Amino acid sequence: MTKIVFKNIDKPEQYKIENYIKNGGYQGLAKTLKEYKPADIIEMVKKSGLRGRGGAGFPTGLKWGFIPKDSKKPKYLCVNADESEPGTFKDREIMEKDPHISIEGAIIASYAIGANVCFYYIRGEFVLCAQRIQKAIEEAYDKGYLGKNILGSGYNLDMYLYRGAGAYICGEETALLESLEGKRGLARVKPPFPAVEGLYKSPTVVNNVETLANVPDIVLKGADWFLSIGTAKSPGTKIFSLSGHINKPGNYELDMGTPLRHLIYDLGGGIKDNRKLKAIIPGGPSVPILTEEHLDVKLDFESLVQAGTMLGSGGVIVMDETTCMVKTALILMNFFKHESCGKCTPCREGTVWLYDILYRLEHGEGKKEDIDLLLKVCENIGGRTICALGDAAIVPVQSTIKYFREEYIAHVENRGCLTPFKFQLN
Amino acid sequence: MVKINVDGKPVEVEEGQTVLQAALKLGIYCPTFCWHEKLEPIGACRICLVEIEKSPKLAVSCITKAMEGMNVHVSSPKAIDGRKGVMEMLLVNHPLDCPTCDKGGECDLQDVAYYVKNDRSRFGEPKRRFLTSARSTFDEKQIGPLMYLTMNRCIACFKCVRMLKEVAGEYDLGAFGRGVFTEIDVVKDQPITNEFSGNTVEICPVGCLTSKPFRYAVRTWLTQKKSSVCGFCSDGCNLTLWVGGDKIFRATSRKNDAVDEGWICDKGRYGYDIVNHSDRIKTPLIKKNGKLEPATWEETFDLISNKIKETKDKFGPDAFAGIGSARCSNEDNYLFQKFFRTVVGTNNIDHRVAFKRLLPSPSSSSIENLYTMTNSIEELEKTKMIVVIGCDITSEHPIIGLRIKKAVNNYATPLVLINSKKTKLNAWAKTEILPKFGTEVALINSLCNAALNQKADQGFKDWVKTYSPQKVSEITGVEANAISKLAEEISSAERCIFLLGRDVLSHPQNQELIDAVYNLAHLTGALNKPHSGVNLLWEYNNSQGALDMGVLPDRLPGLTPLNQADYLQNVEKVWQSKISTKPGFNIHQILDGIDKGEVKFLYVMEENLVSNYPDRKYAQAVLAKAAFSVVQEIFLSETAQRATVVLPAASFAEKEGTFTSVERRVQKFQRGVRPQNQSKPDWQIISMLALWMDYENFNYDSTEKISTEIFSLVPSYLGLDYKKLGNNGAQWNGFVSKKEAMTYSLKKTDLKPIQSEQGYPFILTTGNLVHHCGTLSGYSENLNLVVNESFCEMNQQDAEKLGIKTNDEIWLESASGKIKTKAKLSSNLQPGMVFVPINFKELEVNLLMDKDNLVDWIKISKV
Ligand SMILES: Cc1cc2nc3c(=O)[nH]c(=O)nc-3n(C[C@H](O)[C@H](O)[C@H](O)COP(=O)(O)O)c2cc1C
Ligand code: SF4
Ligand code: SF4
Ligand code: FES
Repeated sequence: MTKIVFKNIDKPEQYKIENYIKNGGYQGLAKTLKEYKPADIIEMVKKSGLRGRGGAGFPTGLKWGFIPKDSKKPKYLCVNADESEPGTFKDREIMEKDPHISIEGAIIASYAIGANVCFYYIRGEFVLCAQRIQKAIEEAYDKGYLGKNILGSGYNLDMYLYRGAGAYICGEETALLESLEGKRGLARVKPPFPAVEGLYKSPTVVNNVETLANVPDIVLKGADWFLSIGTAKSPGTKIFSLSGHINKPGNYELDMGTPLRHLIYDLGGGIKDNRKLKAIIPGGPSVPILTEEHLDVKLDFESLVQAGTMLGSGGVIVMDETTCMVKTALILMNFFKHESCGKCTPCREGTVWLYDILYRLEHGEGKKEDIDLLLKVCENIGGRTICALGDAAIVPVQSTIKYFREEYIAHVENRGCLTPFKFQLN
Repeated sequence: MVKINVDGKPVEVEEGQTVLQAALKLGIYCPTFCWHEKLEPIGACRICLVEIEKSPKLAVSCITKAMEGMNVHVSSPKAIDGRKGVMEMLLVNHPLDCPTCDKGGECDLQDVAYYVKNDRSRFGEPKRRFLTSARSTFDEKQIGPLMYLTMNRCIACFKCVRMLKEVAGEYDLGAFGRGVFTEIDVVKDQPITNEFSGNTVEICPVGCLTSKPFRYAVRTWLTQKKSSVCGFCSDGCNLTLWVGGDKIFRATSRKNDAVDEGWICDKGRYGYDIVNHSDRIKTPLIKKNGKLEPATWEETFDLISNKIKETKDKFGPDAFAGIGSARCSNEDNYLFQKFFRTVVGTNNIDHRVAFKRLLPSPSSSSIENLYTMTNSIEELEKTKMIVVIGCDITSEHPIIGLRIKKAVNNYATPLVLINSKKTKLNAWAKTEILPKFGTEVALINSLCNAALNQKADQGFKDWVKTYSPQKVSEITGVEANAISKLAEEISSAERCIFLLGRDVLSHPQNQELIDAVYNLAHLTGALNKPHSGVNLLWEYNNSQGALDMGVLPDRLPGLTPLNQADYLQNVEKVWQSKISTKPGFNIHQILDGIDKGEVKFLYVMEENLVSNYPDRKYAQAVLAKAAFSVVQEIFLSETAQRATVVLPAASFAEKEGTFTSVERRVQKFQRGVRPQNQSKPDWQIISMLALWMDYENFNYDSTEKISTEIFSLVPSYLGLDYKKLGNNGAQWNGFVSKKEAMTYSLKKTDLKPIQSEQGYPFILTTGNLVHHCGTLSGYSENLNLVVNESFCEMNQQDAEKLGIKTNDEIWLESASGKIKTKAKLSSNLQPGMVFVPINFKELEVNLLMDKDNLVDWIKISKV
């Protein structure tokens, strides 16, 4: 297994700039400024095939290339460190343990798109991350990696840390921009896309922390090197946040294309108490679940799509046989209804409706028709919302019904759930 | 242009327009909730879903740009199904309390549900509730003096918040919370009072925002809609009056894109209740033994006509004087002056009661003497720079204020404010200049000095050089380089509109100041360029019309001089009467005439002389001396109380006619309700009186007949057609085409420094509050819910020196009089200045004024 993002993650006090530099840090930036024009970097990242690690998997170089070259407006880079999806905690580890790798990547990206200002948007609850990033930014200024005339190149970049106020939706790129502008975090309608009209109506790139953390090594080692890792269409590595009924939860950086089974059983040490595996969410709650039969699926963008799900943010949640699927859907729906920004009707109203039905089913007040009603309501949400939260919200319902319809029926017939755990309403 | 097909019909729209706009252009209905023509689309509610061929998902038509060749289906099964789905979602948490909801019958949610035709919901869960009780209709919250919020009905279209933010720049209503618990609300303890708040009630698609005066007053389908025009300020907003029987239930906007774009201010929206006020004069009144007693119309006409004959026989026509009104219609004013010029035979008429120093009467032939707006409200969007001088725009001209904000927001037009005090609009200004009161002329001269070019001859140059920025800086308190910089900005502006308001019109050097601005406009080219020019903003709904109709001692209708022979002939022919060419008394001469006993007979039409004349004691004294006075009024004003005969007049809502707005727009208004009690429209009273005296030439059975006479006689109104005035009105504009070729000769406008008065350290300034207009709106109980009390605004430091705090009772005292009010400390006023609103009759601010002193000096002490 290759390590790119996590190559130094466990080195002592790697978060300090002197250690980061000692371990080879900021050489990618030095090389960038010395040897490449911005367009070269974009070309290189395009060629490397790097795709966004924030959930949507959009080709990173392509996104940078959308920034209009001739615009007189300022350009911005925003680092998306709002990581709030249940079961995803990779950016957090990067920021806490090796903050500079993301900052270096952000500086290179800013240079590539011609930005002189970069905002690092961190989830409000991530206190240690914010401290580490703040310190790291200050250190980078001190060492001349940020500020005026970086490393004598004539390139200027200011970086600001911005702490969110506690909303999952602010990880959605346009809501993030609204929030940065000091407004309520509501998603914007696209188009216009941020590359055309982003922060303060200016061309803007929003990139995930992990995405950017890949950039220094791509510059240092070249696109071909990156292409040699992972699969042809999903090159490189991906950090998977493993959680749930698993013996060794944690973050694992794997080459793209590694089988799911290897992650769960070899690295994760298998299911807790040797219970039977029931379901896996492979990429955060926004993606459809998999079951035991899918254990040999490869973890990369294409293979997961083929298996009817998605790579998403890489949050792998493992559930054993004691897990109730209706309750799982209920818990996830509780999350989505709570986090829906409320701007568009189907998501705002639909998530609560789904939640209400699931709640009844789980608490023994379900009717048989409710199962089809759930699917109908999902249909009424999917594809009709402003942002992907609405599309995501229906996924747990649809996919649990797809694989575990009989469990829903059992909830109706048994007048409730058979597992003892009672879900706390909030 | 882009060509697309909607439901199989081809349509062309401009690049950048949306699919929805294309459908609307074809007359194809597509429901919307969050979309509003004048607001940025946000694509939130999703009810406007349509199908676009080759696109996998349904498209949100209000934000999807039309692209060449698109095939759009509003009525395809897929599109219909999509909208059904959204509608079902919208109703999930809506209380469906239609039977007890005020919006019933005019609710977009009802209408779209009806259109979508889905009579069944699959939703069987308890509905969301914002307040704890299970009831819904009455789970309401008062969020301002005039507004209620019934949050359970909200469909989160955000139009209310967006309108205030985008159009008015107000933030007193906001969205709080998230998801299904998104709440519209005010900040705790900060009720919504901004002057445009009522628009949110109007555009709320459901019964979430309601107004206190209208809620539960009537079902809308039991009312009739009447097209009206606002009777307060001169901006001329178009209104719809909702009437039932003899009562006006509410006023809403009646969109006129040239004027108001569908927004109206709260005084126009809520001030209609003056019409049904119980204090209206009920019958004619005749003074007997010092007391006004009810009388019949016949008795009063007998009395007045006999008195006219008697006085005319004994003392001749110049023993008469008439005061017309900037509030009355063109038809009222036209007949009024016609009555005086023909039946009586005098030119002793005027209407400019509030001005100490009268400007020369306007002329319609040259732009510089027009004394009007020479541009239009719409042109504010097209100009490249706006310079406001001496005007609290937001309070005096709210809708012009909105256009200025739009110009600043949408077109980044630089706004310059030259005011001796800070106003609400200052937040939008690129440049704010705060000259000391009374030094404005020097400031403008100095701008001319800095903007000098070959247009000025040597004489002017030498003279204006004495106004160097350094010297003027000392006089005005404005920094020298701010003056030079501003002159540079104005000179280099491609187009520039100057707006001169109340504080210029009533300025001690009003004429010099206007001329100085003309000099500046001439030097910088603004006089001749399109979408540029100098504009005087008159105050009241028909100030312009009263001028145009010739309610002036030296002007016939159309601002024609009395001695213009060809016109005079024409008028004499139509009026079948000889007309005196001797200029009459102006307002001050009229009062002096009464004082001296020369004027025996005074006729006042809807003008509250006592409270508006800038010398209350004098006005009162003079009225007491008048041998005979007739006052035609809506309320028993201080002036009416002193009359020999009082005639009950109908308000704007009880008659039809035309008003001419600040931008010379002649607009027709319909009668809303029958005249209350025994009142009659002013024109009708005059016509009946003249007929009573056998003047057959006054046989008008409708306003249309008068308007037609005006439109065939008054030069600037020629060609207007009463029937065709339609919904948008028409501007008289003859001079505009001549603008480019116009010549102008620079005038030397010297500063005359104002003289201070020993022992009276403060300069008194007055004006309108944003929720009021003149003393008329003080009768509006609705508006009084927002502000109903007068005050004296004064500079913070001044107040501190006197140990005065906000809400302290204070005496204001001048050499003429003394009044008591409350203090309001403010940083908007410069030291040495105070501001008192003129809107409340309880505070007789003109007691402090002396007609012979151009500046009113006062002293202040704590009670
Ligand atoms: C509801 C929602 C929440 C999201 N949250 C995050 C997040 O916390 N972090 C993140 O990087 N991307 C998040 N995204 C994805 C972003 O919108 C965006 O695609 C991403 O930041 C782009 O970066 P990348 O191209 O580097 O992946 C979220 C998307 C949605 C719809
Ligand atoms: S889909 Fe949900 S989260 Fe996204 S804009 Fe709509 S309401 Fe907001
Ligand atoms: S209160 Fe009315 S206008 Fe405002 S968001 Fe709710 S429904 Fe829309
Ligand atoms: S009207 Fe188009 S989304 Fe609301």
